[in-house]
Amino acid sequence: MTDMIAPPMSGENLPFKELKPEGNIKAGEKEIAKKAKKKLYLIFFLLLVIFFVGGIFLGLFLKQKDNQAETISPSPSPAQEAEIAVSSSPSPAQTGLKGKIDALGEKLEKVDLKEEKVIPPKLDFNIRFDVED
Amino acid sequence: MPAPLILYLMPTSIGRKSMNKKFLIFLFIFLFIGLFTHRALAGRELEDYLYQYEKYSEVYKNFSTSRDKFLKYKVLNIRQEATQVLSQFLLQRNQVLRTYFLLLKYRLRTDPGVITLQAKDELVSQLDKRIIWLEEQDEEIKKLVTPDFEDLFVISDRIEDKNEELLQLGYKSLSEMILAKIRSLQQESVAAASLLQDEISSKKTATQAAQLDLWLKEINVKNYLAQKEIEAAEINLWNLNSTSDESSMVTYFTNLKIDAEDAKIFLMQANSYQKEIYEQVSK
Repeated sequence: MTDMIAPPMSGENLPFKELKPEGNIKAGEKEIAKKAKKKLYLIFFLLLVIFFVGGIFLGLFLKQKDNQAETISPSPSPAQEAEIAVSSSPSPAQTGLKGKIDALGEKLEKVDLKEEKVIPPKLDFNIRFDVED
Repeated sequence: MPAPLILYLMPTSIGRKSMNKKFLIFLFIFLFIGLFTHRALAGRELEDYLYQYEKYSEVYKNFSTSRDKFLKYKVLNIRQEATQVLSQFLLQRNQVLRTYFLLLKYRLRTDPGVITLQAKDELVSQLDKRIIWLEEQDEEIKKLVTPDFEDLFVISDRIEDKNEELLQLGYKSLSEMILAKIRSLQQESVAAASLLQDEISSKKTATQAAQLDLWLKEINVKNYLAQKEIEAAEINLWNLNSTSDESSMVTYFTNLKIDAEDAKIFLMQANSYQKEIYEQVSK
């Protein structure tokens, strides 16, 4: 009789949970590691991109400051010129021609033909001196 | 920059689909970064050169001081110090020349304008040759474990012997750049005049067109005069190429710049006439 009435179960007497096979645990760990790796890659690339983009903008800003007065765009190609000259509608041709004339005026004002900053450096090329008494 | 990385990734990545994806991402990012950093960093040549030139002044001052000290006292301790400073000075002088040639090379490659590909290639190759040669001289100085004055003087003499040649290369490159700019502007002015001619004939009555044609002739004269100045500048360049005397080089280079400036003045006059004619045409 006593065998039939089971006492209320305490935590200690609870049956052990069946453990999952070892292979499944390893697969889970691998998945977590994979995800962590992915995150790490993502952060790394993000930082890399931010670093380079920042550098690029800084470089471009400094470059623009330096070369502001020296930029000349290449002369128009014959195809472009012909396009403007032959154009049947007057307004785009006029805008193009006016733009060209104004742009030429600007370039002429800005162009640096002296190149003072880059003239050959003055260096001492006669350094020999009498070493002996 | 991305090339070594691509080569490094290639054997490990090809063959697997997932790895190929990663490889493509790497490739894209590094090509992107490589392209833009190259553009951004390209303009640093001038700053590098100016910095090295400034540093040269400091090193030169040190060299003069230690040389004078040595000549005054002539003791072993000061002698050793003076040789070290001389070695630093030689390295810095080479560094200035090297950064200067790198700057010229960059400018020749990137400056827009009319310069023949052959002339550009020739100058770039000469600059490359000199840059490498200067690096070799640097190596030789660095190889000297206990340099003496004579060792350093021998290396210095080699560089000093090439002074005129190095100077000529600098002036030649600069002259080509100046000529390229002014030629380009002159061609643009000629093209604008030709477009104005078309506008005049298509828009105005015969009387107006005849008057504007006369004005246009003024532009053509100015363009022609600018062309003549450019030709005079080209003669100066030719003279510069055929001399080895430093003062003559400076004179020819100065004359070339004056000719280019005169051409610019003619082109500015032509441009102001162009603006005037355009206003008449568009009325």
